[in-house]
Amino acid sequence: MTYRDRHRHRPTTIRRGHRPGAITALAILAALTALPVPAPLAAQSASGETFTRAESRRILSRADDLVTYPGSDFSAEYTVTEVRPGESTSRTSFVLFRRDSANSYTILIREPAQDRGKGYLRIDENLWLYDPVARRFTVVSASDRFENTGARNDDFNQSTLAEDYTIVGHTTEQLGAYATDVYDLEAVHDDVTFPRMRIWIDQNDLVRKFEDYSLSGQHMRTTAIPSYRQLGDRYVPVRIVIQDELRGREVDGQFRNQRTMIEVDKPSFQAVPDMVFTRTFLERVGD
Amino acid sequence: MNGGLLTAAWRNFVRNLRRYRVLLVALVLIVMALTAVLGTMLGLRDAVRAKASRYFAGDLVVLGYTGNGSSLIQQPEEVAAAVAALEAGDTPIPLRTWSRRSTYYNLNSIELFFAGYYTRQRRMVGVEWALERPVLNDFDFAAGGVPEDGDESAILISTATARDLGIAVGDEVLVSIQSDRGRTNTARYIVAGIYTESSFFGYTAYVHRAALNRLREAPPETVNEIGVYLEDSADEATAAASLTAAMRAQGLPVFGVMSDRQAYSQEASRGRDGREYGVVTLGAQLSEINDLLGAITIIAGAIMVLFLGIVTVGVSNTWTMVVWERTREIGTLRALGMQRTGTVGLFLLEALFLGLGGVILGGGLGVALLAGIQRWIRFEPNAFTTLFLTQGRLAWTLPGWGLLGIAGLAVGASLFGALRAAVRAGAVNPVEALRHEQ
Repeated sequence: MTYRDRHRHRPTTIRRGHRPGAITALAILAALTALPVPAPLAAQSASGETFTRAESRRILSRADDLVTYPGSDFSAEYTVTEVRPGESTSRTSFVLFRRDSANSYTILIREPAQDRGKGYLRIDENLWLYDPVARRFTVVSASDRFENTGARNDDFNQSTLAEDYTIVGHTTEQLGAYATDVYDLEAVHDDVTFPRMRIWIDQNDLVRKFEDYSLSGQHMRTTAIPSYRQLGDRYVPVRIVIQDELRGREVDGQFRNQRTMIEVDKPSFQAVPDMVFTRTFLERVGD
Repeated sequence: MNGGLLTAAWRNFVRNLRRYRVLLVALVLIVMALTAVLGTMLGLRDAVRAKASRYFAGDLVVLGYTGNGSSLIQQPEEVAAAVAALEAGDTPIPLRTWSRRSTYYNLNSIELFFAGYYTRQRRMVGVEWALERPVLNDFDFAAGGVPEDGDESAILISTATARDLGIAVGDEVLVSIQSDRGRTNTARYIVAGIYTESSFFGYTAYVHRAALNRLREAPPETVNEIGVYLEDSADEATAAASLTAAMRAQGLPVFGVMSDRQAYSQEASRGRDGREYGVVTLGAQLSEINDLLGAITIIAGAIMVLFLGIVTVGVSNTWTMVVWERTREIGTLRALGMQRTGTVGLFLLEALFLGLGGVILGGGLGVALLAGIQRWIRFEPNAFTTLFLTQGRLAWTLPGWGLLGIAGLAVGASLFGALRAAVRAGAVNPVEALRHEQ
């Protein structure tokens, strides 16, 4: 059965009432490390399929659309836990305000206490970090690590897979309880953090897992999204686990990767005042 | 001045040594301190220069700007010909070697990984091992050394980096950067050498130029800087002027020499119609450090000169006393035919012997002190010691002009102190002197 055969019968809307996140979160988490090592990223698609740019866009747009909210603002409380094996575990909590229609977000850090008042402001392709101690904004890169965790600043922006990547390979794979399509992606422009990706998309067009690769094919990190929360016809990833494939420590004779756990609480699509997406807001709140 | 006067002065100096001993000790201590301070400061400066010249690609570096702040040498063959012309001109400037480098600066993007450990680098440098071997061999290697000439799989890292990663020579390190196109790119290299450095200059990794260009996604022949290592760094300004002239002779558009940090940053960002080339000197790159060392030297020198002033006053008082005590002796010498100038010369010669004694003993002790510090004291690594010392030790330097300068100061102070009393001795009336009672 080829990709097209399987997708010919795929419903165009998400099956309401299906709560995939609650079913196999543990299975996906286990898949971070338990899955067999995939074939080299540049390998030919197992089915020999080739994808035009339009087909790529259509497939990836479906995944993007489920977690992008152009019709409303989005806000939520995030908790990022960084687990460094053999070292300390750190916790960062913040509030995210996102306006996908303007490609903007504002992040206001609440914990740890010494970073309270720090904030990020993204307006289109510009990203600033506000330091309330120095009362100064500095330009940062979307591909920089967020607060020295495994997450990147870009990870909190809307999903733009269809704009950024094209499909160069496809296979299918059972990921825990999910039958997934696995796509190898290559960036179509240079404004992305990782030029190559492999993503696992379930039958509901939700991205369940993705791997980021360098240009030379080095596996850099793996991200699993075991839990989504459905709000109306939209989905919010509420649990994300990022495994750094290069950082870690040997503990008790076993190598353990550095991990970043992101929990999302109280997601809301209530309108957010315009001034939240301004530098003035960060300055006032930071003071 | 005749031999008799010299002998008499020496005999008087030795006979009165007990009286002069306090002054002599003071002079010895001051000369020793001056020698130690000067030797230390020059040693620190030279250590920084040696490290900096490797870091910045040479004593002189040719950069090509269009105004975006980053350098690219679009005509490397013409620049190389200009460098070659330095040694072939009418007044040849001897070169140690030269460099042709690809450079990558990005503090946030260069990461090295090994067995789960990671560290960041300030910059990566792509060199040609064959071309820069004479200079790279000067690295104090804790392990390994400079790779084979064409080895594109090798990397040189510092002890600071090796310590962060827990890596050894022969291990494979993964390097990740954001390429010139902004894409995350990685490459694996074998650690060929670990050089001892944990200061500002230590967070730099050296690979082959072709390897770095691949990692950067830059054209294979990309050259960002062409540097010149001079045999004598004192020729820096002359060589910079000659190099710009040679580049102009090659038909290259040249904007001149950047001799300070301000000019350097201004020229890098100044808008231009096309690419223009300039030469930056190591002195300009190190102007802040040179200013710091210069300020320390001036303060230390001022304190020493103050002490010298005190010695001068001491010499003056002592010689006044000596002249008064030896008035009858002066009268006798004058009665036996010694001229006024001879009398003045006699006392000045004694002061000269005092000064020379201080210089010889103090200089010797100063040199011994420096040698002892270098041999027996290894300083713990910290921000200062790793920047200014070599392998944690003081690599002092004392050129001839330094020694002569110290000798001139000490002898000059002694002679100046004795001058007033010596002139007064010359003015003594022999008859009255013979009747002088103490």
